Formats: sequence, structure tokens, C-alpha cells
Amino acid sequence: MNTKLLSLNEATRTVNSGSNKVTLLDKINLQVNEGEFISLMGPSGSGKSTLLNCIGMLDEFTGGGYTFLGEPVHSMKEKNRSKLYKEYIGFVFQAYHLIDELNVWENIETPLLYKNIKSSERKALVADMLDRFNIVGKKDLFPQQLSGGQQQLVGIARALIGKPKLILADEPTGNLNSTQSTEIMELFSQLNKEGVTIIQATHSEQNAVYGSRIINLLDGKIVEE
Amino acid sequence: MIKNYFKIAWRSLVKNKVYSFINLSGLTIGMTCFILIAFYIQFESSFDKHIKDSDRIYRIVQQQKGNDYKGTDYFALAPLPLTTAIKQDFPEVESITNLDIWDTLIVNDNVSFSERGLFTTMSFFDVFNTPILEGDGKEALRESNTILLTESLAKKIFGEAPSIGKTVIHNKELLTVSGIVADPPKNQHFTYSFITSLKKNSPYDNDLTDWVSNNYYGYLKLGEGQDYEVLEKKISSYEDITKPAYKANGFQFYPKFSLQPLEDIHLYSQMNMEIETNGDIKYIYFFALLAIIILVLASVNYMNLATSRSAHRTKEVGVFKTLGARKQNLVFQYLSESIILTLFSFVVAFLLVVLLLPEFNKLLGKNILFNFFANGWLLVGMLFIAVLVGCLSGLYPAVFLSKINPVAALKGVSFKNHNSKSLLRNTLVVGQFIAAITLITGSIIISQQLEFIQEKKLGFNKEHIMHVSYFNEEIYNKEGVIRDALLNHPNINKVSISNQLPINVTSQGPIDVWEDNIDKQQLYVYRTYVDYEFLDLFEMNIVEGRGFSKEIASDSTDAYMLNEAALKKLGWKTAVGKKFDRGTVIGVVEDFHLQTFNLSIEPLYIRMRRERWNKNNGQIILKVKNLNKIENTIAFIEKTIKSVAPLDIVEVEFMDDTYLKLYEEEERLSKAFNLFSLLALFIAGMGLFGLVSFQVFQRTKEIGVRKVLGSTVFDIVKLVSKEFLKLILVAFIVATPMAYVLMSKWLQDYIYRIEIEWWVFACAGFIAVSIALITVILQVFKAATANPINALKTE
Repeated sequence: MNTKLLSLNEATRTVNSGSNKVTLLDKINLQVNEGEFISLMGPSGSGKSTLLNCIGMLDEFTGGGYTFLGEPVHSMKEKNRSKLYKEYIGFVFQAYHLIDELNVWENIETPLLYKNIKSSERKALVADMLDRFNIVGKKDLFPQQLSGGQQQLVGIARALIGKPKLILADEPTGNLNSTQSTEIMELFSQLNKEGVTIIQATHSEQNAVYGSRIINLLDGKIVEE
Repeated sequence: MIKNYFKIAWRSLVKNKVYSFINLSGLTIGMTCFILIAFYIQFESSFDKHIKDSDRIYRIVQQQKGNDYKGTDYFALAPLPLTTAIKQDFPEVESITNLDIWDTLIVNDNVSFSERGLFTTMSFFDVFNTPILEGDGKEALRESNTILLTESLAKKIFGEAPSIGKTVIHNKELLTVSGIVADPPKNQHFTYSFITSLKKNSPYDNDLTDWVSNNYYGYLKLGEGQDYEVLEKKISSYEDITKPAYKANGFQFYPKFSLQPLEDIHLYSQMNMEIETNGDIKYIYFFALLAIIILVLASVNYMNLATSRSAHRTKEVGVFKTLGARKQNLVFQYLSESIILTLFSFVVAFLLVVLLLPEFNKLLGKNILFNFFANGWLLVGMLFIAVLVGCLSGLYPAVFLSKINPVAALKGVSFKNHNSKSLLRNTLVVGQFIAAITLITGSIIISQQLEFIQEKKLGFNKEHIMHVSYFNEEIYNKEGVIRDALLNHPNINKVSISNQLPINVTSQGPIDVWEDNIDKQQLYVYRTYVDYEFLDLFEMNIVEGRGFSKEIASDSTDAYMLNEAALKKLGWKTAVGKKFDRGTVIGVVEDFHLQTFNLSIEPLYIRMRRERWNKNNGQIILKVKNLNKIENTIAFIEKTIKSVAPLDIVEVEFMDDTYLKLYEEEERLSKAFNLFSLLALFIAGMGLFGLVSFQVFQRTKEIGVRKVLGSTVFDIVKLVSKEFLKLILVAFIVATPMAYVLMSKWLQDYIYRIEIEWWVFACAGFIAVSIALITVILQVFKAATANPINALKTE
């Protein structure tokens, strides 16, 4: 199980703040194989979220190379990138970011809509997911009616529904209490065992150890692995 | 997928109830107004177009240069010999007819009906093609003892029983019903409920050859492909006949005939002797402008609110994007949401129109019917506008939102560096307030002028006066009996039986005999015929000489009274004892308003009515002591008059009401103005609401920081309000001169009018500022009193 999922070659991200050029990520070199569980650590502002967003194609590197499943992301058109992204990547957020207007079922279903999957198939997939996460009873509730842990569960279910190869989680337990955190982390390691690659950004040493690999960032540079 | 869009759209609406309500109600009100006004305009411009070949029908009218009567020298009348001559001389004229219309009594079985009669010739049916439902049409007019009833009058008189062959009495003559015609539609420039022969008019036989007598309306239908302007030029040749004829009759002017297209009459014709009061293209333009302004205001507002709302939705966009939504998915989502909303508005507006049409008709004094098929194009157009507004207002947020970076969107930062957009928004708000302030100013000024009309001293007292119009010689013959009987009632103080009320004197003619008129000048003088009590009852002031007296026998035959305006025109310092027309002046009455305020006070003479030939109609005028239990007095008046003239229809009216009826148009305009200014204000207020809520949202953090730093709620309200007050100020500066110019122009129509005062503008400005402040304060207060910690926790 040593297939290369993605690799970063001197990947850099800069932004212009007024007349100053600020480097958020500085020449990052990183290889991620399928089935890995990576924890990104580092203080606030060290570039964890930026790295996740760039890997997740929500943001772009401004320099260097980014290869995903052998395809050069840095030189891709938006359309193809979007296709790649829809197919292989799932996101989990600290603030869950569920759609308030949609209930649990519909929230989980949404990514499938953008993949143009038929209605009958969607139903089956969502039902499976609800079953698996033991939230069948909550399928008609709206996000506001759920606890934080439950919301994050829905968030993860939603990230998983498209059967992604890679899950990117930005402080997934940041808004949760310790019991809920443990549950979520257990779930991640379960998923990882099932073959999903996971990269999480976290402040917590406790959560970081769930990963098979810990990478420390400081001022946009990898300082320790 | 589409279902999902709708689902999100719907739930988002329900969730933000206040916003949705405000936004939708604004758009709905705008669309409702627009549709209603469009119906009105459609109705007004549909006049006479239902008549077959209406584009080939013309009315013969004339201009008598120098004969100014009620402000114009155009007359809608044509002499009878002219129509005869045209028919003979010009083969391109297919048919030509004369007609006259007046209100009269139709009696059946001792029951009277006050009805409007059309008196005409057989060729009426050739020109107008009026549908005949039963019996004879054209043929019925061959004889003069037959009558055609409209469907509704037949029903009114005879119920469901067949009416053909039955008889009714008109003017003491027995007429046989020989046909039933369709009711003329409400959008015809003249209406009637029966048709009978024009020959019944007593001077008809004389008029047939008299080029100087103008008692009838003339209409002709041109053959296909003929140019009416060519015919108009040919008709001018008749001046060879009219010029000497008028001169022989002592007139110093003569008529110039012209043709007026039938379809133009209702909106473009304001001549003397119009059959009915016509509409006015001026009002059509005014209302069209208003409709467009309101629709634009509402649409712009909707867009403004929708786009400002989208600022709250960036997070949602971020989530959708991370879930794999592409740009077109998002554009489609927001567009469909916006279109659903506008379509919903349209449906509600449509229902409101159906519901409000009767009220709207009352407001405008019209009779517009809702006809889905006739108004179909309008509704389709409206639907198109709804979708367009939906697209436009959805497009900006759709495109804008779909473009933003998802990472930024999730953080909730965006909408910065959008100064160009806020300039546009500010411009829109300024525009709305310009409209609102102009309308408020207009409202106030129109109301002021109306009040002025009601309050201004007319030169006589119209308080506590009632009157009954009569159409019956009986009253004239038994005048004394009626007066004595009426005066028996303790509440009736004075009774006068005279020709007409002093508020709308219509009769006018040339006078060329008076003392010192050596060079035979001609003077046009209005005239009214009264009894001994008239001047006293109206408390008119006699400034020289005396009023009519029973003691002096010659007063009833050759005494004249003049008004001050007549003296001025005649160049007389004093008048008593001077020869005038066929008698002598005995007194001068102080000027009073004998017509509406659009017309100046013209020369007038007053004579006793005894010797007048017009016995068939007039006014019984009563002055009562007080208005308590006036119903009893009214019942008494009705009973008393009925006992003398059982066939008369007695309708007791208050002079105040009759007076106000002269200003019905103004009254309506005022009401419409008030209504629309209110709506415009409401819509402008909402536009501001949207803008403020957007601004406050943008400045949540700033407000939080300021509060942490110790600023008070008042400071924050002041901070935000200041910016909006600046916008209102700009609107005020633009709107004031605009309103001044527009309203001065409107006031110009009145010879007697108010001055526009500065406080009117101040007042309009104050109202606008108040509305703006309330809107701003409501929104800002919420943000300013919120816990600053929440505001700072936007991360």
C-alpha cells in the first residue's frame, strides 16, 4: 500500500497585504501516500489551514508544483480541477458548515447532486451513510436541532458520501468537548483503517497522535516530521 | 437538482420572514400599482375603438375665433345644413349623421325614469353600426313616434316581459318601442339609454336651413382609403356661406370647420359643449409616469435588498463550493430563487388587482372591467417584467457570489473594496427619495389648492343650501304654490326657484346694445335668470343700486343687474339707470365665482326669469336654518314637490356636494397622489432598510469594537445615521426645484390659486428625514445594543 496520492514540490503560497508580500507557505515539499493519516500541527498562523485549503484545491499555490494522483494540479484548468476535486476530496470543518436550510438527509445528499447521480442511487447511498453513522432517527432534523458532535458527524458523513480518497479536516474537534472529540477521532481512525487517506490540522497533541505521521509547521515551513 | 434549488429557496424565505415579507410586499405593491394603472390607461385609450371602422369616423367641429367661451373658442357642434351639404357634395363621405344627447324623463304607468336620450337620424346606424338586439334599428327612426330602448332600460321599465310594441311617454308624447339596442359600452365617449328621432327637438325644422344655429353634433364616416385632411380643406369652402350668414346675424366672427378623428375625442378633446366630460391625455401621461416610477422603484428596491441580503450568504456559498458546486450551479440556484420570488409576487399582485379593481374604479370614477382576454397582453407583459426583475436582481448576487473564493467565503470576509457598488446603491436610494419627496410635495400642494377652492370666499354663501333640479313645466307653472308649501316647514328659511345655481353659469351670448356703444362693439356676457329671492338667499352683495323688487312691475320685464366684471369691461364707473341690451340696469352685484377656479370671473347679467321661454327645467333652491334632523326636512321637500309634480324625480342635493363635484377630477387626482406618495415613501423606506441592514452587517465588527472602546448606543446610531441623512439631503436638494417647477405648472391651470410656500418643502423634507431616521434607528439600534462579544466573534 504505497501508492502515491499527492506530492508537493517547493509549493509556495504568498499573498499581497498592502505593499507587502507575505509568504504563508514557503517551499513545502511533501509526499502523501494512500492510506496515510497525517496530523498537521503548529501554532496559529503557521499555515496549517492554508496548506489544507491548497491541497483541497479551494485555494491555489502561487508557486511550485502540486501533483494529485499523477496529474499536475498547478497547470490544470478550473473545470478539470473541479472534476478531480469532486471525485476524490472531502472536507470537514471546525464549524461544521452545514447548510442551515437543509435537513440532515439533504445535507448529506448535496455533494451527490453536484456529481449528477441519479435519485434512486442517491437515496441508497444516503440511507447507507445514515445507517453507518447511526443517525437514521435524525434524518429529518435541521442542523440547529443537533448537538455539536452530531453536527460534526453529519459533516463527516457528508464528506464521505462521495467516496473520496482523501479527507481534509481543519480542526474537526475544535468546537467539541472532550467526549465528543474522542468519538470523532475514533471515527477518523476507523475510516483510515478502511483505506481513506486523512490529513487533519489540529492544535491538540491528544488528537495528533491518532495520525500515522505528524508534521509540524512554523511560519509556513515544515520544521519537523 | 432543481427541486433542491426550490427547497433551499423556500426554506431561506421562511427562515428570514421579516426580510422576505418586506421585500416581497414592496415588489407586490409595485406590480399591483403598475397593473392597475396599466388597466386604467388601457381603458382610457380604448375609447370608441370598439365601434366598427372607428378609424374612418370623424366628428365635425368648429372654431369661432374671437368667441371665447369658458376658456376656449372650439365648439364640438356643427350646423344641420352643413351635414346635408357635405353629404351632397362629397361622395367620399360614406355616411353622415347628426345627434344630440340630453337627460330627460321617460314615463311608463305613472312611474318616471330619469334617462339619457340619444336623439338622432336614421343614418346614425350607418355611421356607428350599433348592434340591434331585437326589432327594428335604423327603420325605427323613420317615424318620430317610435323609440329604441337599450337592453338595460328595457329591463328596468318592463322587467323580463317583452317590450317591443309597448308604449312609453316622453315629453307628453306617446312613443312605441320598436327595437332593442345593445347598451353602449362604458368606453364610448357618449352614452344613452334610449334612441329616438332628432325631429322631436322643437327647433329642428328651423335648424335644417340655419347655418348659424349650432344645436347638434355631426359625425361622418369616410370611404375606405380617404384622407380626412383632404376633405377638411374642401369643407373650408363653406365659409363662403357661413361668413355672410354670421355677419347678417350681427356676429363679428364666423366658424372654421374641421374634422376630429373619433378615436381622439376622449383623450384629446376639451372643447365647449362636449357631450360628456372627456379624459385628458395629460393625466394618462402623468399616471403612466407614476406607474413606471413605482415599478422601477419597487424593482430596484427588490434588487437592492436581494443583493444586500446576499452579503449574509457568503458562508453558504463557501460550503456549496467545497461540496463541489460549480459556478453555474450557484448562478442557477440564486437565479431560480429570485425568479420564484418575483413570480410569487406577480401571482399575489394579480390576485390583489382582481380584489382592488372595484376600489380603484371608485377612486378614479371609472368603470374598468377585468377581462382576462382583453388584458391578456398586459399580464403576459407583466409576467415578463416579473421574470426580468427576478433575473436582474438574481444575476448580480448569483454571479458575484459564485465568483468569490470559497476560503474567504467560509471566513465570512468579502464585500470589501466594493465602492463602485455602494455608489450605485446610494444613487438608487437618492433616486427613490427624490421621487418620494416630489410626490409628498405634490400631495401637499394639491390638497392645499383643493382646500383653497373649498374655503375661498365665492362672493356668495353656499352654506346650509340645498337644491332640487327639475325637468318639468308643472313646477314653473305652480311656482307660488310650491314656494308657500315649502316655507311652511319650520326649518326652511328661504326658497328661490331660478334657472341655475350660481356656481356653474353656462349660458353666454353677445351683447352690442348699451349706452355709449357708438362704434357697435360686441361684448360676450354670461347670463342667469332668477327670482326675487335669489340674491337674498345667496347673500350676494349689491354694491350699487338695488335688487329685483316685487313692487316695481317693470323689474320682471326690463331690469338688468350686472356684476363688477361687466362694469369693468364696459368701462363704466356707475351703471344704475343706464341702458343695457333691451332694458335698464337697476343694480350691480359684487363679483362672485360663477364658474370653476380654472376660469376668471367674466361679465354677467342677471334678469328675472319670468319672461324666459325655458320653463322645462331649473332649480328649486332652499336655505335651511340648521342641519339637525335634516332627513326630516329632506323628506318634507320631496313630499311637497311630488304633490305638485307627481311625475318628477325629486333628488334633494346639498350645494356643498354639488360644488365639490365641479372639482371631481382634482379630488381624484389628490386622492391618487396621496395614495401613490404613500406607496413611494413606503418603498423608498424599504430601500433604505435594505441598505442600512447591509451597512450594519458590514460594520458589525466595527460597532463591536467601538462599543468595547466605550462608545454609547447613541454615538453609534449617530455615526450610521449621518451617512444616510446625507443621501436624503442630496435627494431633497434635487427634488425641491423639480417639485416646484412641476407644481407651479399644475397650478397655472387655475386663475385663482394658492402660492407655493417654503414650508411645504420643509414639511416634505421633514417627512422624508423622519421616515429615513426611523428606518435607520430601528436597524442600528439592534446592532448597537447587541453584545459586542458576539460581534467580535465572527471568526
